[in-house]
Order: sequence, then structure tokens, then C-alpha cells
Amino acid sequence: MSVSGAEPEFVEFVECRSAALLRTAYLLCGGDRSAAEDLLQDTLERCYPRWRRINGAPEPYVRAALANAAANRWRWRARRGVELSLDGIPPSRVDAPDQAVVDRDQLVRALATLPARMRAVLVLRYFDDLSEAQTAAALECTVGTVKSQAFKGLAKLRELLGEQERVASVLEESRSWTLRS
Amino acid sequence: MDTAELSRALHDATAGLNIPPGFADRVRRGGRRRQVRQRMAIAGMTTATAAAMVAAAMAWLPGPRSGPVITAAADDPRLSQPTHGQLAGDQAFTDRALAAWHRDLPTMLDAESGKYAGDRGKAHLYWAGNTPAGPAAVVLQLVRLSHGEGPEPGKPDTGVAIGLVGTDPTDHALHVLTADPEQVGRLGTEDPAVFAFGPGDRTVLVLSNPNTQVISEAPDVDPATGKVSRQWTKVPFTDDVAVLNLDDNPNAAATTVVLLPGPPPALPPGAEVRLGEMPVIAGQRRAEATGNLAAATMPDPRLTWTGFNPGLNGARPADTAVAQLFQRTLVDRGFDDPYASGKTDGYWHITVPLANGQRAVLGEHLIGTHSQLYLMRLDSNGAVTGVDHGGPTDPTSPLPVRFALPANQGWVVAARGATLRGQSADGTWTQPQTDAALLPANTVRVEVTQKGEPPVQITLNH
Repeated sequence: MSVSGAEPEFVEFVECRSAALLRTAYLLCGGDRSAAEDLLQDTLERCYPRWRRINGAPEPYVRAALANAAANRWRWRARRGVELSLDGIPPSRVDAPDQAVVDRDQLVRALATLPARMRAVLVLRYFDDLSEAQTAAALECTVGTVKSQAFKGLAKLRELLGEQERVASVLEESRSWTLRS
Repeated sequence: MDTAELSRALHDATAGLNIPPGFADRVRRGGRRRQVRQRMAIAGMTTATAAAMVAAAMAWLPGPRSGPVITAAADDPRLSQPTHGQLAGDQAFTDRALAAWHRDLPTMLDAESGKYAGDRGKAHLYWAGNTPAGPAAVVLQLVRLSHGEGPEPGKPDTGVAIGLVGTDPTDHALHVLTADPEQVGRLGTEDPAVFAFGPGDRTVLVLSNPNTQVISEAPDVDPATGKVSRQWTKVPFTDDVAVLNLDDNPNAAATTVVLLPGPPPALPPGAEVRLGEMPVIAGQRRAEATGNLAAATMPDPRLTWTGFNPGLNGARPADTAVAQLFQRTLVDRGFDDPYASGKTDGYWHITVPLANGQRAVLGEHLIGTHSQLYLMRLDSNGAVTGVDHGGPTDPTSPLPVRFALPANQGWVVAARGATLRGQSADGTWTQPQTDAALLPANTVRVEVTQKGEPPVQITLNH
């Protein structure tokens, strides 16, 4: 099958999975929505010529490519209008209380301060729900590295976010508010 | 916060995010363009074509590439040339180099694409010599491509693989250092082959080619004005190969090197030159093939203060429009490298009030290997009245941002997460502030206190 022969499958994948992949890219880019769109578009374009050669389900391959590209994203050529991350924070699924929005923003900001590969480990493990082995395969490192990076990353996030219960309590408040509304 | 809570928080933080309209179409068109570019390059992108494209404000020029690459021409004259370089007669080295080539090439070319389908001829040592990163060799070999990857898609074909054998800084052994499967089958014999390798990828080897005649290693920032320029020189080829040591230029990195076919074109204000392809960093390519990506990841020289947009002393924080104006103003007014090979905008903007209803937006802009501080002044209507330069940021400093406002209007200082207070010459301290502060003009030092750490005092240079 030529690349053009694989195009319908590629287009279907892009149309169906881009939103989910953009969320991963958004976290990998530390909350920079413009960069996330650049990252995802660039990654998908690079996948196009090799689409037919991807063994198995393409999504894990694309997620791994996203994570690896994110680690080096400052070197990209793409230059688009800047978009402030505060504006880029997407609206919540529901209209959450202001404090919840603020703290989610803090979480994304805190994530942004982590080294790129540590951030990628946290995103793949706790957002994309990959196993340690799957994360290691995606990032081309050992399971031990994933474990240590996840441990250190969580500790750093907790440190950055202050008291450990803060996010949990705000989320709880958010959920309660949702139920009330 | 446990992992389940983190997972929920991450999903909540992204739940409303969706792709912009037309995204799928843009991806499909972009993917097709990549295919078309491959075929165009095989046909040969001429210097004249590139020069004509420069006339547009958004110019496209052929840029440096690295290999191994596979050219379309099986009768590449380089395959029959005698070996060049000062190590051409060093049998022990050339044997080792060819052994490394045969051992590594299939893996390197096959790492991602599966395009390598076997040898079609003997490996030819094109050049062997000493470099700042140790002895190295350029090797060419006819190889078979798998179906669909040659100049005639769908048919098996042969091509010339061009690659660099050198010392991998991670294990100090000879390896094929570069592999870029995307370029397999893409390049014609007139397309550049450029290799960046060695510790920090600071040794650059250029093969002589119509498109690699003039070089600029890095953009220069005028320390007085902050304006950006580039110096261009002829590439110093010897035996059709030039070896450059970027250690001679602290502002240079593999990502800042630009090669052109001839003297640089006169660019209109605000021009952004898009090179034909981003130079591929050899170390990274080998790392990708061998799974040692962590060693190849380069840190971002900017301050990663994503979403940090305070308005100090009552100033309205910068919104998206102001941030875009900041970026556009720097580009239009000569505070930008039009040949930049990466994203150059910063992640943060600090807004402060100035006299007469004016305000100023402080931010950073990546130029070459350093991020520079710039201040954009706006009048009460939001029109730009000027730009001031504040020198490079230092992410390793306890106080990475310290900027003296024009006309003695004070200092803007910032250290994300820190408590800051300033001391004037008479010993008076200002009230502590978090993250950023606008301090009086007579401030002589700043005390920076990060959580859990002892205070650090930084003297301001007046």
C-alpha cells in the first residue's frame, strides 16, 4: 500500500484522535496551547509519510513521537503568534469555581517547570494511563528511569503546589459544585 | 496529592481543549507537502529557485541537512573519487571506520523507516581526517531501498547513502553518528550534507555543494542596542570538506549555523527566512537510534515561566494581543534573527506603568543560544513608542531578570517563586513582593529568598 493508499486511514485517525492527542501535547508543552498545536501538527505531518509502516495501533506510536518531540521542542522552526498560557488554559468541562480554575492553572504551571522528560513521564503515566513498561518503551528508556522520574516528578509537583491536599480539596470542591449545579 | 488525584487534575485541566477548525486539513496538506518536497529535492532544487523565493517576505532557502542520506543518483561521481583528508592513508583508521559503517548503517537507516533493504556496492571512503571531535570519516555507499522509497515510488531502487563515522561522546567508540530516515531518498546530489557531532554537537562538517558556499555560525546581538545581525564568510573548504569548530564562537550551536548558496539576500524588515529543512543534530539522531534520548536532550535557554504575566503597580497584565505585538515588534524592528531555527518567543511578560500614562512590557526573546531581555514601551493608546534591550537572561542566577527602566523610572526584577525586596543606598528596604517587583531607581541591591532557602543578595549594576 502506498502512502496515498493509506491516506484515508491517516485522515480518519487525525480527525478522530487529534483532540485527545492535543490534550497530551498541551500538558507536554507545559500549558502552551500554541506550542501544543504546533507540536501535534508537526508530529502528525511527520507520521504521514511513514503511516503504512507503523506496526500495530498508530496511537501509541504517535504519543511516543509527541513525547520525544516535546523534549526538544524549543528547537523547532515553527514560529507562530504567541499565545499566553493564561489565555490558553481551556475552559473546564463545567463552569468550575474560580479557585478550582486557579489551582488547575497552578498545576499546569507547576508541570511546566519540570524538566521535559520528567514532565513526559508524568503525562504518559498519569494522563495517558500508560504502564511503566509502555512509558519506558515510548520514551526509549528503562523502566527504572520511568520509576525514578515519576517519583521525583511527583515529589517536585507536590513541593511546587504547596500542601499535598490542596489540589485534592479543590477538585473535591469542584465536583461538589458540579453536583449542586 | 496521590497519583489518582493527579490524573483527575490533569484530565480536568485539559477537558475543554479541542482542535481548532481546519486542523485535520492542515495536517493532511502538511503531510502531502512533505512528500512533495522529497520528490522535488530528488529532482534537484536549484540555487536559482531558492534565490527567486527570497524575494518574498517569507523566504525559503535550502538549509543544512545531515545524514546519512541517500541520494537519487546511483552514478554519484563522489563514489569514484579518491579518498580525501589527512587520514586517507591511515589504514588502521580507515579499516575501523568502514567496520563501524557496515556494523551500524542498517540499524541507523532502518531505525524508524525500514527503508534500508541491503547493499548494492562497496562502501567508499570519501574523506577521512582529524576533527576537534576526533578522527572522522565520510562514507558513501550504494544501497537498495525498500519498495516505494526511491525516486519512483512503488518501485525498488538504489541510492547513495552518505554518512559520517566518528567518535560517539557517550561511549568514545567509532560509530555511524548520523541517521535521518526521513531524508532517505529525498536528496539530490546538489543538496547539502552537513554533520554536527562531537561533545555538544559543536563540530560541524560540511561537504562542498552549490548550496553550502557561505556560512554564518550564529546571530550577533549588539550589546548596546540589542539589534541582531549575522556575519557571513565563505566556507573554508579543503578537499571539498570543511570542518568547523563552534567552540571558537560561544554564541554558536549546531542549531544556529546557516549555510547559503551565496551572499545573503537583502531582507525586508520583518522577513522570516525559512530554511529548507532544520539541521539535524547528529548526536540526537544517533541517540534516537540507540534509545539514549536523555543524553541528547538540550535544555531550553529561556526562562520557563509559562503563563507568568503579572501587571505590577496597577498596570494591566499583558493579554494575548499584547504578547503578539511584543513578538511582532521585535521581529519588525531588527531585534530578531530572521534565520532562527526554533521558536523564539518567550513564555512570560511583565507589565509596568511608566510616566505620562505609558506602560512597558518586559519579556524575553531567544536569539541564537541566549535569551535576551527586551522592553516594549506603549503609549496610552497601546501604540509602540520604543524598544529597549536589557541583555541576556541568566536562568541560573537567583535573580534572572533585572532591567533598568529608561529615564530613571526604576528597576524591574523577577525570580519566579521568590520573595523579593530592594534596598536603596541609604539602607532602606522595600516591602517584600513575590515573583516580580518594580523597585525605585535608587535601588542598589535586591534580596532574593526562595522557599526553604537562605536569602541571596544581588547587587544591581547602575
